[in-house]
Amino acid sequence: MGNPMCDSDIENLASFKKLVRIRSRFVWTLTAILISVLAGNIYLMSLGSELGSQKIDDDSPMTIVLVYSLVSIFFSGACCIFYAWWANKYLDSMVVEIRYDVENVKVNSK
Amino acid sequence: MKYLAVAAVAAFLGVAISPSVLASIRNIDVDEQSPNIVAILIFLLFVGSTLAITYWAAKRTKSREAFYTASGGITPWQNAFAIAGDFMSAATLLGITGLLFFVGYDAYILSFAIIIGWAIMLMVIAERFRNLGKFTFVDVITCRLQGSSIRIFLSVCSLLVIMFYLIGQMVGAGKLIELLFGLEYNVAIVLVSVLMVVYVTFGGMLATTWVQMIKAILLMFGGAAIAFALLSRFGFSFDTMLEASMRVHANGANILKPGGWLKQDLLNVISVGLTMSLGIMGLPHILMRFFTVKDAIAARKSVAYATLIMSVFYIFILIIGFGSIAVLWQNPEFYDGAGDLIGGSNMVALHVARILGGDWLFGFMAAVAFATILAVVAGLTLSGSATIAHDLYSVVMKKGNPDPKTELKISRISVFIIGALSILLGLAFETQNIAVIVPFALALAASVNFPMLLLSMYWKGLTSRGALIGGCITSFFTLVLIVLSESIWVVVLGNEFAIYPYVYPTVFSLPLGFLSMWVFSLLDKSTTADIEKTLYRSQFIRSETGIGAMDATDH
Repeated sequence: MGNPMCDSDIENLASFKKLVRIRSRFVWTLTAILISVLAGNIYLMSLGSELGSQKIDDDSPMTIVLVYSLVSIFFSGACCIFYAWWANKYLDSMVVEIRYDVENVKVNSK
Repeated sequence: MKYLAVAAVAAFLGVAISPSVLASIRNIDVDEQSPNIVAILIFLLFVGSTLAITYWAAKRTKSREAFYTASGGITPWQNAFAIAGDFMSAATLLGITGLLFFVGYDAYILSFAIIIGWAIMLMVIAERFRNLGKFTFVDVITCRLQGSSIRIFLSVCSLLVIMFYLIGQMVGAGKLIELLFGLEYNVAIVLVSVLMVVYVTFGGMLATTWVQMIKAILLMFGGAAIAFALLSRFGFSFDTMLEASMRVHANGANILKPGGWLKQDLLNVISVGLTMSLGIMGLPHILMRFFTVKDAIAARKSVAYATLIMSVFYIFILIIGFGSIAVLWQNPEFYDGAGDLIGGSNMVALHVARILGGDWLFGFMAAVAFATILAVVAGLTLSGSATIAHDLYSVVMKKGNPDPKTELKISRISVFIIGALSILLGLAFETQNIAVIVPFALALAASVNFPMLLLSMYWKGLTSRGALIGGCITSFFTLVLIVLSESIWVVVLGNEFAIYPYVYPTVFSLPLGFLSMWVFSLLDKSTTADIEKTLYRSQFIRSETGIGAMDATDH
């Protein structure tokens, strides 16, 4: 799977550490938010069904849980667009930088 | 190869126009859904064009890389439509709208939980998966886990998920085609199998992807047309449409409140939510699509676009599901003498299409429903053949050094075997309720495949022994809970009450999956375990950066 020395070199690269730190912070934060959104919907369908069954206002038949589900879908779609945009803009350049650094390490070791 | 292709197309045409098929097109009256000429024409157009694509793809499918992954040459948008198409199955179009029609809001958990799951999958799984694997999801998990046992276990799990899913699709296809086109059930099953074998054997992943893309576009178009026509009946006011539905439905305003299906039971809701949102991350035929694009960046874009496409589609599903109540609930033309909806709950979307757009829209949607099943079974078959030929033959039997041409040959032979098996199983399960089959596939994917995939990617301590023992325990536990649930214990075995009271076992089996794999990995003090832990560092770097990952050209 790879040379352990080389792996260790890569792991110690500042650019690699930065990539891992930023990616994991961003990804796990968004994931936690998405899981919370799912948990909210589950709550409104079970323990909080009384709240979920309430109308959003007197003039509309829509219930809170239905609106919440629709918002969940839009929010998840928005998260995907945002993540793809963010990763294209920031992560990919970091990966390019790491690959460049790795090539340099290889060249220097020769 | 060319002769084989000609033979296969001839075989299809032979089946399609054979006297038995023609004889099986029964003359049934309108109330029983007589064969619709528009549906037949659109379906023949779909089959004709996809066979032409298969012929074109066959010329480009000369290697195992091309067969399994289209040599990584699919663009992100194409892959997005194919991924979305894989998930927008007949169960989605027909099943969810039918469930919304009868039980109301609760059915929508089958939609929003999936979309949230896809968003999580994009961030947590997609790029790493593409960076670590080659052809199948088993490749990714065994990236650092040693030995044949774990690969054999995962291959069996993979094949089980595929076969259960396939049975569900085949039985659904047989029933649907019987109803829509007036074809006999067994003829319909053979027809679907022959087409699926032709697509996959000759066109491999390239043809399967194109079939899926075309179908996804048709399905989106059909969904949009019905949703638009429904809303237009109510002055494009969603509120007015809902009010009209509430007025006629037996449950009145309760259709917009939770409880119609899952009875506001926390564990039941969690179980369905987890199965839908996490089960998708363990489905082999979906995961395999990440290898059809050139790199992790393209995989990321594919999933992001696919999530958007599905989000739009699930909005259409909501409109169709609730809108159909307003136009269909009290329409006597679509109920039989006993007061049941003609064709059952799965026919809601198609009945609505007939009401809104007459024979043309009904015919179009019927053909799209058939195309949907065809495309999904083709994807499942390809995934199954990759598991047999690559995971079992190439890696386990040949220790990773097979003759590529022999592997490709075995892939194609296994497509024929899966095709034959799907006919036999489709016939054997004809009278069974398919609702008992598909949940097992999803529950197994969510409880065994997903935890193992996630732990292998993110936890250094996972060992092959821990994964194997934990996987076996969880599979067995999942199976037991499904047998004890209402769908088998009551419906199939005829008992009065279900011992396990929830729809899916996932609320218990998923935590057990994580826990057992974690505990048995911690207990594993073998030398192999040490090696596997050491290899995690390389795997981690590769998953983060793509350094050492398979490029499209390596495929």
